[in-house]
Amino acid sequence: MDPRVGERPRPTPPTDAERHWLDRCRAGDAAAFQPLVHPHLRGLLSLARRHCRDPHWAEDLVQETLVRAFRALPSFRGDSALRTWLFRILIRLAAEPQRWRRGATTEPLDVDVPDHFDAPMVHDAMARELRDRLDEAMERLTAKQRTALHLRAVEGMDYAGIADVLGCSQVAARMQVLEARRRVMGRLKEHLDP
Amino acid sequence: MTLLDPTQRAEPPECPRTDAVLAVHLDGDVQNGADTGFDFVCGESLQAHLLDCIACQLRLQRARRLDAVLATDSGRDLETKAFAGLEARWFAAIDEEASAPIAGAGARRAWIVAAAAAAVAATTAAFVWWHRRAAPETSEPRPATEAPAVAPCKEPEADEGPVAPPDPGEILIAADAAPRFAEQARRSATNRAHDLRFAPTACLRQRGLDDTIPAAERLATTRLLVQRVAAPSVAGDDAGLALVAVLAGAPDRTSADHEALREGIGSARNESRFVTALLRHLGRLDVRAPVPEVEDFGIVVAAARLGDTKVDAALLRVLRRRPALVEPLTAALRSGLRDSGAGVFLLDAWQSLADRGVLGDDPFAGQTWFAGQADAVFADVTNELRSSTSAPRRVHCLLALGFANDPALVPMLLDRIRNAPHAEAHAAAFALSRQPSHVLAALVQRAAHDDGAFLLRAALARAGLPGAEPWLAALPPGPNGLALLREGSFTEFPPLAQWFRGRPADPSD
Repeated sequence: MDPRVGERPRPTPPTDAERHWLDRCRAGDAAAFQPLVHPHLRGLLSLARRHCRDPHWAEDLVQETLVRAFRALPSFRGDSALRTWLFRILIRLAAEPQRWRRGATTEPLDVDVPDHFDAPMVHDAMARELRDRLDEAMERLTAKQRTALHLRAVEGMDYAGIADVLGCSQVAARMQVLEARRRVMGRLKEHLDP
Repeated sequence: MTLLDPTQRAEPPECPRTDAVLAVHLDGDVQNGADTGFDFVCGESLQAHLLDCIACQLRLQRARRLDAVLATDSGRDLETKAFAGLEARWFAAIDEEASAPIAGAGARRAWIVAAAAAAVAATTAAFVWWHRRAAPETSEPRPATEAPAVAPCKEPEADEGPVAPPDPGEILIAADAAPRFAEQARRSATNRAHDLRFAPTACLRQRGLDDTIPAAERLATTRLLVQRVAAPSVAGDDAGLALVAVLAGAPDRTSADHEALREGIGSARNESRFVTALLRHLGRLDVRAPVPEVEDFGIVVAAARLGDTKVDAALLRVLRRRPALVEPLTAALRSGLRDSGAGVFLLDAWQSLADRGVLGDDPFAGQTWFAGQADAVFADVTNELRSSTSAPRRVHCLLALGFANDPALVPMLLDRIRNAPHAEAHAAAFALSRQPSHVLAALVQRAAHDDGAFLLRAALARAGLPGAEPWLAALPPGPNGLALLREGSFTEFPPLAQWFRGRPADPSD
């Protein structure tokens, strides 16, 4: 067996700005929590949406993640980047299926049907079709594969960071991304062709 | 050249190097050697391979597009305004967490103190129990110098009887128990509300409708829903609909339930976003099929209870198109949860539908609108009767007051019977005939001694008072006419009332 397989990644420490706000938080300044986590909110919501079918549940999941992070902040040692730590909390919460994966997507019931179609309409319809297929394909992945592919493709996170979030080695993280890509592309195929 | 259907395009065979190609071109770090998991890491050879391999080219193209679509579909480009609302909500939750009385180290300290106190109490109780049990019945009497373990009981005075032993079935309650329990319940409700701040909207909705929890907690839940409606989100309708469900369906059995629900409605009325959302929902109801759905009833009930001018106007538009919703609307107002304007709104709705020939002016329509309504509704109607300059409106007011069941209205109705124009006088007589018989019985003598009070006699005859029997005997129509008088509609009442005109008040004269 390759000795590298199973190695845990080298953690990425917090940035200077994060350290500054972290120190203030630890000193009891609750107001410092907002600037501390603010840069990561969109990323958290985006990842939450990948894990919750219902956008409301995704919003609630992010809120719960932030609350848990706030409570656990005194125990955050700073071994890894704050973003990684937040993502890790979120995916652990998302793994509680009875809490966060209930509900269906809320599509509007009233759909306006135009009486003519032009090029942008067709394009929109195709894009929507692709998004629907993509959501369906992502839904069929395991939670780790979904998280890994999302972090790589959307957040642009390196494999060390992904491994840190998933709690696995970099090689395993890379394999999760590859497998996720393979499975999603296998389901979408020609929808991804130009 | 023929354009091929993409679904018919032949799929190239799998290539063992595709993963490595993807890693090199998408991740760019395959040459770093360590931590890649790939055995060969020669970028040049992969580049050369990619030029020749159709499968790798196709899959690299797809992978790039997949990443692009994933990034586009991620929701990161959420509108700034909507996202600001979400941020506000999230950080409000953090502020709550920060200001919570029991949190973090404080909670741990509280636990330690509570555990220590419990341990001391348990040890003391065990020691006392053991000490009493271990002491034999025939033990030596305690020395007089030893301090008593408990406060000595008061000896009975000479003129008092012996001190009665406490009844084992009696529950002794400390004098300050009630305020302590109340304070405990208040703190408990506050703490639970704090926990609920982070609960999903669906949980809040369920809790707001739960009749097994105290009214104060339901009110706290309703206020949380109002706060969520106030914070805009990408799917803001959810909290709005949950609030609608709670305002329409929360229990209203006890006075505490009633007050809690009324306060909740007041909070919702003051939240402009909720009013806007309700208007939107009512607008959607307007264009749907005429058969109401369960959700529609909830929206109508919540809207009727809210007491907002714009919502009332929207509700009237809905009712005009869907009269089937009149019944849930009037039922919603019977609860008396609306602060003001219910009477005027019901009159407007009645008039509006009557103008279109729906649920016309017969007394059964009046019954649909006003039977069983709260006192505040009739107070509104009385004020409207006094201030309105429209005769048809005043007729409606008088007919509505027939359902008030309030003896205090009788003098006013008598005055209208005597002094108001023709239609209003008949409406007043019709309304009077609906008043309680014990109130009307006192009027028989007055009607019998006043030949001009034929409308009063018609009203008393319609009410079926025994004292009015002699007047009925002289009437020409017979049993059918009597049935028509007793059970006919308001439109049938004036010609019947005319039969009493010109006939003697006392038939024996």
